[in-house]
Amino acid sequence: MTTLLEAILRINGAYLVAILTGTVAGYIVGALPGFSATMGVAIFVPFSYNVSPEIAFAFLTALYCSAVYAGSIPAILIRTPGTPAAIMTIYDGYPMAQKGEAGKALGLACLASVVGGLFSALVLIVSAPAIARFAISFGHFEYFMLGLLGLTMVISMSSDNLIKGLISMAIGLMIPLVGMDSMNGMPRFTFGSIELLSGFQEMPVLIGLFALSEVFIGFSSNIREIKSEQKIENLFSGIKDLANNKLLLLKTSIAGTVLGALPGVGATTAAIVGYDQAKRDSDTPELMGTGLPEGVIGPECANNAVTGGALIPMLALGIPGDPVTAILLGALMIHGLQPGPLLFQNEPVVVKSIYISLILSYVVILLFSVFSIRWIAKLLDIKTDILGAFVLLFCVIGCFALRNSYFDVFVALGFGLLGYWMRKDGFSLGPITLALVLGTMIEQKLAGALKLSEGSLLPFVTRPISLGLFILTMLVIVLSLIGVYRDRKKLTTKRE
Amino acid sequence: MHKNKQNIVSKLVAITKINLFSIVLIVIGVLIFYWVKDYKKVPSGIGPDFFPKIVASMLIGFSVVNILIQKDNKNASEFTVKKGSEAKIAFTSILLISSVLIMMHVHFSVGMLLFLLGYLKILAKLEWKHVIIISVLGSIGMSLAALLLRIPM
Repeated sequence: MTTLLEAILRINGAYLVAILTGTVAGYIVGALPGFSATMGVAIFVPFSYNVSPEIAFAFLTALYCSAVYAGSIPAILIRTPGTPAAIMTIYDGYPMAQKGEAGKALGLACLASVVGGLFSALVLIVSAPAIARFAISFGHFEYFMLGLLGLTMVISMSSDNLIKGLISMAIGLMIPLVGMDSMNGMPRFTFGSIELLSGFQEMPVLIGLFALSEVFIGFSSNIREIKSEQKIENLFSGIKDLANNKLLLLKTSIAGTVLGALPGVGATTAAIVGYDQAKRDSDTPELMGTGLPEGVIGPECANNAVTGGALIPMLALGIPGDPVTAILLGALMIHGLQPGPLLFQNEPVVVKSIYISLILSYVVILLFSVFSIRWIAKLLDIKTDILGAFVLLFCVIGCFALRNSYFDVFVALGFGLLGYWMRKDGFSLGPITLALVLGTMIEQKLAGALKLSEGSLLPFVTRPISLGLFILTMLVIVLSLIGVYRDRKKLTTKRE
Repeated sequence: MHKNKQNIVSKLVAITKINLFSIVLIVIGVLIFYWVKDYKKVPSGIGPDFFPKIVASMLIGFSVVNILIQKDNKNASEFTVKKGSEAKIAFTSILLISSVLIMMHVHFSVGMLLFLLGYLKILAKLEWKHVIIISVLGSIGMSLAALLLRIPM
């Protein structure tokens, strides 16, 4: 209770300005097609280096939450999702706008997002400390098994192309190998370069993979400048519809939170599940896709519920729930904070401050939408070419700011080109992020565990928690492979 | 005989084009095994070469499987590569590298200004008036932002 009070007392003008600025930045990143929440967080993380962790996370949390919601704005107005998570909002949001109900659709998206986000914040506050307390008893063996469990999520992330997902994972595991081997004190793959002695820093790699590659892919996009013709009025005329869909709100909030907590799943999957749930709950499912309010409420509630859910494994276990939280994990470490159970013991005020920033972010999103959504819609008139130039410059500043080294800028460019090549060839970047974050931990914990057990593998299966995680890992592998096999069979049957 | 040889060569070229990324990864995997061969061995067996070898094996193994599976399939790219887009990427990369070198050796703002001028004129195809206004204002704004955030560019 005292730490919560202390966190509340730390809310000052700078904290609130950080939340407001983060919300505005998130709206800009989310509302512009061709940009994503991951890209926005990747670009802006370096700008938080020189502020306190509370203010940094207030800014980044607000950016994350508002970017996920703001993707619905172009989805509704111009039938183009601002972020991948808004893809399902197009189906009923755009028809609503065409019927002259653009304001109602935007208002429903906002309210549903706020409900989902606040629900997931509540679950985070209740469950994360409990999980962290349980994880305190983890040793090298348990952390190794946990890392392995996290990596097996690659299988579920890559159901459409398992082999390519595994290749992405292998690339992600390769990246942290460059530099000094912390256990043996020996340089690996440095080729005599002083810069490579400290290896590839996580942030420039993620900025390159998610921000620069997105700009490069944008050169193949047809989105240049699309004006929205819709009039935005009667923003919250859909409150009655929201009240009529209370059960849908609850179901999609739960679904989004759970999916967010599973590493590698993310807001896009949650939106699909949310839309599917809305169809099942609708009184007129045959009319879905023609402009039904539940077609906006379901996906928007679910995709924003991911925000709190993804923070649960990130804070409690140090395992990212999605690429955004992988970047936030890096940001925590840059501020000298080690995510995981010890964060709750050593920095409880910072943890409470993250909870408060998540809740305040959604309050600000609601207020900001009321006053400014018409201005945000005008952003769609800006040429994306011009924005691309500034995104690249932000990336340069951001990468430089990490260690005052231009080498990191070249690293980002290299990984940007790699990211472009991989996406061109149908490889997804999600598994790389997971493997990049977990790879170092897995290597260190395995080496530490084998040193303790004098080379014996037996403790991995004799220690109860480690055994439990091992069984869970095997279960995830088997169930995911069955799922992959079923999807393949369905596809083959469809083709026939 | 000659026609058969030509067919085989053209098939190989086609397979290489489709699977270039996987082939590069196989080469990297083999190189990893070569580079770690002189790393010191430790009694526990978990030396600096242990994980690189595991990762290299994964890279080679999965890439070979990918080539075998993919030989008849089209790539499932998430976007269609537009004509000229890769030339734009090459130009942007060269422009970025040149600008960063100017930032390093001359001044940050000069490098930024030149980058914006080049990008907005050649890629965004704006008129000179707009290019100059946006570039000047943009580089001033970015420099101020870096100053405010205490980033010593």
